[in-house]
Amino acid sequence: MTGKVNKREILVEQNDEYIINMGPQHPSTHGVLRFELSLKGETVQRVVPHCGYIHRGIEKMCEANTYRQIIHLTDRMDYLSAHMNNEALSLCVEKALEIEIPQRAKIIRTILAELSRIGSHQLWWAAFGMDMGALTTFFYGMRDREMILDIFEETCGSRLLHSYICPGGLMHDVHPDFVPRIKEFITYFRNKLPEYDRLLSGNVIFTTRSKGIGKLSYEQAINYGVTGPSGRGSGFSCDVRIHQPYSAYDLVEVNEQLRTEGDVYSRYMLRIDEMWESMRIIEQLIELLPEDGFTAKMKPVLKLPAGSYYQRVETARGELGIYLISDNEKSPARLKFRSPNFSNLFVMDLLSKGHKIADLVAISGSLDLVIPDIDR
Amino acid sequence: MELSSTEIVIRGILPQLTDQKAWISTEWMIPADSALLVMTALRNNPTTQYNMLVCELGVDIDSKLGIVYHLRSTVYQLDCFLRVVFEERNNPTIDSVTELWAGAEFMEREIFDLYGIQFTNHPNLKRLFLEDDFVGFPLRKDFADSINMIQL
Repeated sequence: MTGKVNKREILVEQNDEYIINMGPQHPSTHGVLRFELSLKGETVQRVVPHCGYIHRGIEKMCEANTYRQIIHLTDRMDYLSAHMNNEALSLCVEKALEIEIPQRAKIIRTILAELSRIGSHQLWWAAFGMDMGALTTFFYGMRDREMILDIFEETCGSRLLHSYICPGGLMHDVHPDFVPRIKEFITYFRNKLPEYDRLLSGNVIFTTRSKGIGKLSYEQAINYGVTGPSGRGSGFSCDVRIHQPYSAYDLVEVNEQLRTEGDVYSRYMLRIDEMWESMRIIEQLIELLPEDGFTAKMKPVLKLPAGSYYQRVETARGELGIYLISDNEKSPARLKFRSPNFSNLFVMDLLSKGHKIADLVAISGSLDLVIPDIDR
Repeated sequence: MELSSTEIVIRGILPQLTDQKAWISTEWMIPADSALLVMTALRNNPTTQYNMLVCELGVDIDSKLGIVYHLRSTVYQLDCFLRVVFEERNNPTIDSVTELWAGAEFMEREIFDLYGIQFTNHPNLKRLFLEDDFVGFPLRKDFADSINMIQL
């Protein structure tokens, strides 16, 4: 067999695009996500995200499970906002059944949601500093998040995948130490959060690497459907807690945090602002907590009346929408999760065009992606 | 009863339309061939300005495939649901709305991946989650996989 070898000259400074894969096991993609990068020298020309490495078919599984079982599947989407995911489905089921849940359950739900928002932003801050080369942030963030996880563990027995909020209210009542421990945490974290600013926000290396990088304009944010802190960093007012209050958000004063620059630094500062805001919300809610009633009276097997229902909540990453179509059976005919990360991911190409590879890590970090929520 | 601005725009294009009051807002049944026309009008009309596509989802209800569009106007804080139903299951085709909302590109790739609905004028219609040689469309009700699926 005869073959022919073509001699090909490979030069570094040629005009061809150089294709390189980032991921699926790359630490700064925060999960199993693969970016196909087209490079010219060190400049990024094009980013093509490839998803599906952790696709579990949750939406198909939902069609074969009962509503109480689906609660446990929603945990596994955006695991850092597990409480909010549970809450979203529970609210949708309660809306369909027209059930009013006790005030205490509503307030505890909101407190837990805000606590997990703080916890999620702490983990994001920890990992984001590490993406940018500052290792210390990881220890600071993890240290403070530990207190929140301890509260969760005492309340619902688990630290990450809670499945605590269920249709009708809560699985069981909270631990007697719940209120004192949250008060203790708020006092502690009010002193610790300025440390975050001192360590990273004012750092010259950090600000130089983040200001003016990855600009997302207001129109682009709306056009791509970018919600949550990433959208609000571009001035897009999309906070569901303001626009369509659910649970106990109408009882308290919630201020929407907005920044208009739209770069990595503005998304960073916005999450710091959100942690302050969440602490203010929790402090207001703790005072309102009534004595008893953690669940409404529910049937053991839930059958939703035929029809379609929609409910949205604000998770730590943006707007989670639940589209539920029921045909009067024990399990839904169709359940679709409009996950915030799915829409947030696909602006990567837009944001990183023309920037260096090192900036790409900062940009993907500032979007705060959780990959299981994209793939579902 | 006073007509909403959304209703005026839709009835301007499709006078004979009926709506179903099932969702939080009115859900409109739109024929597949005029879907792009209606959505272009809803997006560009100054009285509605639906500038955001919140979600686009495939459905398989009553053994008919369909698509639900969830539009939002951030100017007027309006939400609007449109539903398209396909009569045939073999090769359902509809115009892509990627030109109107950039976020639609990947939502349509997901629908193509899991429901097998074809989108014309889509820039890059490939499977999004599953591998390229996967056989079948898993979210359709008639999809069967005896090994990997949960049977209760």
